[in-house]
Amino acid sequence: MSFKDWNTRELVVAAVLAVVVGVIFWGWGLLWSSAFQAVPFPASYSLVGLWMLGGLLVPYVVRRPGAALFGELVAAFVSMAMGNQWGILTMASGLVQGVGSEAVFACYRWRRFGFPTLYLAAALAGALSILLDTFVYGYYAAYTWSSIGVAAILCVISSVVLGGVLAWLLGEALARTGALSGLAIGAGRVKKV
Amino acid sequence: MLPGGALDPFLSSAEDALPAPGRGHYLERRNPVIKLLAVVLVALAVTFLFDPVTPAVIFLLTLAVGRWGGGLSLRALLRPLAIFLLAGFAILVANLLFNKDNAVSPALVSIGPFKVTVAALWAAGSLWFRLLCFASLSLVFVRTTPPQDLILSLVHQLRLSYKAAYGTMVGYRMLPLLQNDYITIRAAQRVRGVGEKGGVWHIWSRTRRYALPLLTGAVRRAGRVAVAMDARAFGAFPARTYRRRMVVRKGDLLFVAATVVVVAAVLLASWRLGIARFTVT
Repeated sequence: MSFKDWNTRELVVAAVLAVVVGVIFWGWGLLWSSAFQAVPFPASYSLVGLWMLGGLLVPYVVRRPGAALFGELVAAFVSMAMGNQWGILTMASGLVQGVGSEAVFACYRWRRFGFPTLYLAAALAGALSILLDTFVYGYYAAYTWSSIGVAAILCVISSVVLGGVLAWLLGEALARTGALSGLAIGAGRVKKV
Repeated sequence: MLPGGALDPFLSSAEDALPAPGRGHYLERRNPVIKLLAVVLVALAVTFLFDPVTPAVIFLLTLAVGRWGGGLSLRALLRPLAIFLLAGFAILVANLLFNKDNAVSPALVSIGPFKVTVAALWAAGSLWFRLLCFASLSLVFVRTTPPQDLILSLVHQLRLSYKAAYGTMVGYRMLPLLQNDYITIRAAQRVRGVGEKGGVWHIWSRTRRYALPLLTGAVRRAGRVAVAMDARAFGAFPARTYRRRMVVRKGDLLFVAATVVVVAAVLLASWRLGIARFTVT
């Protein structure tokens, strides 16, 4: 990751957003370890998508090469440091999800961050995420491939909805406040009244 | 909303309160990146295990190291793990319903159309203890490593870009301020007569009302911090100097070596006794 092109404001805004997303990840993790346990295996993956948010919201706002990877890794780090049930494996998930969304933004040479790029990034992050889980948590040993397939489809859909759509909603709402003026997303956003 | 101490990274580990080199418990004195390497190696070994017994042994060993090497009380170690009783139950249910060997494995007990199979219990047990291993490993790591030490160590040992590292630290430092913002926003909304409705069904509307002011405030503050950092020529040079430097000592390497030897011994013993399974059969 090279931060040469980033100015300090982009760096700090990206870090702060990523840290906030990390707290959201942590809270979601607590819910997952308690209330969501009522949802059995393949269906539970319809809730996983929120964990793609860091690699989507941060690049949507900052729009720099490396923003997706940075955002997802920092968010994963914060949720791990605050204590969750996956511990160090959180970083593995963060890496894979960050690489997934970064790859899609890279394919567009970091010039497009709106529809459909954002949703493709969410989908790839989700797809790589379930792939990692299948092997790390030994799903292939425990569950049938058809139930893993159902989980994969649910994971991709929820990544697009809980990750992509949420990142878009939050990013747009933030841009409308004018707080992001001066960043790529905020260009020409503030309405004259 | 959120526990006070959990969010303030500087509350429990202010720089002055950090164990100086040569002080504190054994695990607290280890280099963070080297300790991380040990954790990753053990977690990797556990990933290839498909029986409940061997991960259980590693889990107990981790607790012992945390207790006597990290000075963590058993209560502090076990309480955060209590949530895994629930997770274990969910894993058990999922396996009883969906385990792929349920059709061929003999039933221990049959309840109507459901049968409790050996395969399901075996798989659920190994998944559960695997989860407990990961959780206890990282619990011990996190509880014996101040976050800013880890970040410094990532810069010094792994050559992470210091811009990224300091940016992350700045973000982390803002968490307690966000908590104050939350209190202010709540007070401001109450003064304007926006009532607070409790209960599960209002979580969404509450989140909506607080999320945007909180995020906007954070982004604006980030802008101000960035100006202050620019004024101090942050990022003007490729390298910088540090008040504290993380170093790797001989004891750190010995620690990794000892960890590898112990885990290898456990795996070997378990394999010789015919317990360990390294592949799915």
